Amino acid sequence: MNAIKLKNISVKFPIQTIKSNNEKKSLFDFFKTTPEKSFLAISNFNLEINTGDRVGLVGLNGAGKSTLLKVMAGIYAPSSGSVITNGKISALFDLSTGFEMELNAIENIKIRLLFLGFSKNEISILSNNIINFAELGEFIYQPIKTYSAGMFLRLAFSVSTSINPEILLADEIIGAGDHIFARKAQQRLKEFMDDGKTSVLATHSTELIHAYCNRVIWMNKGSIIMDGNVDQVMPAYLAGSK
Amino acid sequence: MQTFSTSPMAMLQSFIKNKSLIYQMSKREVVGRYKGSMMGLLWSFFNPILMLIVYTFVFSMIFKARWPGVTNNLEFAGILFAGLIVYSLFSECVSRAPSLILSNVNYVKKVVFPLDILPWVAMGSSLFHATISIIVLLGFMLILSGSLHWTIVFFPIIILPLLFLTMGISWLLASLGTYIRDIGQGIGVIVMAMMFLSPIFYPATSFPESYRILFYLNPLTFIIEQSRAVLLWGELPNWQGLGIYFIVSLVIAWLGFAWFQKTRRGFADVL
Repeated sequence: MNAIKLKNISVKFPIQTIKSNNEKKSLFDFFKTTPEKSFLAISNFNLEINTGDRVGLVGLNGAGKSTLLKVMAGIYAPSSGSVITNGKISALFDLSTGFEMELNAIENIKIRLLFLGFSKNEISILSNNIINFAELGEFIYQPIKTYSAGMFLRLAFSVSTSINPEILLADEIIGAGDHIFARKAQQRLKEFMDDGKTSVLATHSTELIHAYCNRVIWMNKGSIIMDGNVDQVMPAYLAGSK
Repeated sequence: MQTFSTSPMAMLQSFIKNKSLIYQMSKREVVGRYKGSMMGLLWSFFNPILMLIVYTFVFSMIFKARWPGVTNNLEFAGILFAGLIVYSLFSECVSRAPSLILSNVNYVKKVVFPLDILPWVAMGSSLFHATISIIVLLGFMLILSGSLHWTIVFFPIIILPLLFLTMGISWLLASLGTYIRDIGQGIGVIVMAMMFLSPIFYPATSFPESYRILFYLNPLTFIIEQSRAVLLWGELPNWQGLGIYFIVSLVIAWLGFAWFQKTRRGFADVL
């Protein structure tokens, strides 16, 4: 079964030009159906990811990895094409992913779980799990704007992996944090993958790819250059993108 | 990518499905507003009382405004306040609407969030403040006349259609304001014009007859007059008018919601 199926996906971004103080022009632009200039971040992309696949996304900066992940997560709507996903998705993108800086960790966890659609009972159980896993100590009562990068990682990682997702999408963050948390995080990822769940990790770390992935997709300029197992794609990518 | 339903049922379902999230976020917003102040939530109580005092002083002492048949300055204050409560409920939501999406970029670009509830959250916090103000008003009336009219029980029914109307306008403005930033600049003046074109500071009858149509085109006018009727004068609501208003406001709510749902896919591109 396909966990994620992308069919003829294209994602266009309007190129934001700095408009002068000419109000007429910006109003005029609004009524145009297609923006003057646009950037094709993903073009005619077809991809099937099977349940249980552990996909690594590689490619140079600007290849479209993050955009592709956001399309899979349902955050960006593709300009054309269709996205079909099967299973609950958890996304681990930036560290501060949608957290409210003024609130403390407990409140943020609660709001996150609420909009993910959990019930009251589930929330109280899950938030305990998250708090225990993150090991933030007394800081869970502090507004998260005071957090360090490592603390953000602990919180974000704990939230995204504690909600029992079937598909985990992660963008370039696993591997931060101190060695103690890193070990815990790796352990959790292993369990997640051993359960036959699907993951897509965008990363520049060859190590991570070798440790976690059984399939690698090499992207460049919004298209797939190569798709295959780790031993095929990684040498080609490292050699080809020099 | 999910498609966003524009049906009237989807509008209600989204509210029901997300009601605890709306409640939590509204609560957070109310508490957040007073965070760090020494008196905290008590401000939600003092603010309407202070407003009541200022408006009474300015309009009855300085402007010598009069309400036909009302001789007592304090009674005039009650009339003014009742109008202002209804107006604030509407104006708070509507003036914030154009910036709702703009100020929550995270919810658009970082996570899959039910964006259509943001106007409900704004409504939730406004409703909280309106409720406190109503309590202040009723307390004031009780002290003034020693009793309250039983017709105050109809007040929520009178406010209900206004809520739907406000939501419809909020959805529309939340979406438009994201694309056209000028809306956020202009809305303040429009909302203020609606204040002066409604019977808050003077009765409808003292408005020049030739312009009175403007007065009754203002959707606040009917609700303000009805609110005063049940809160202050012990009159029954105008059921027929209320019924028509309710139907129209439901349609407007749905149109606003449908517009929002249709346009929300593009938010990420313009933020």
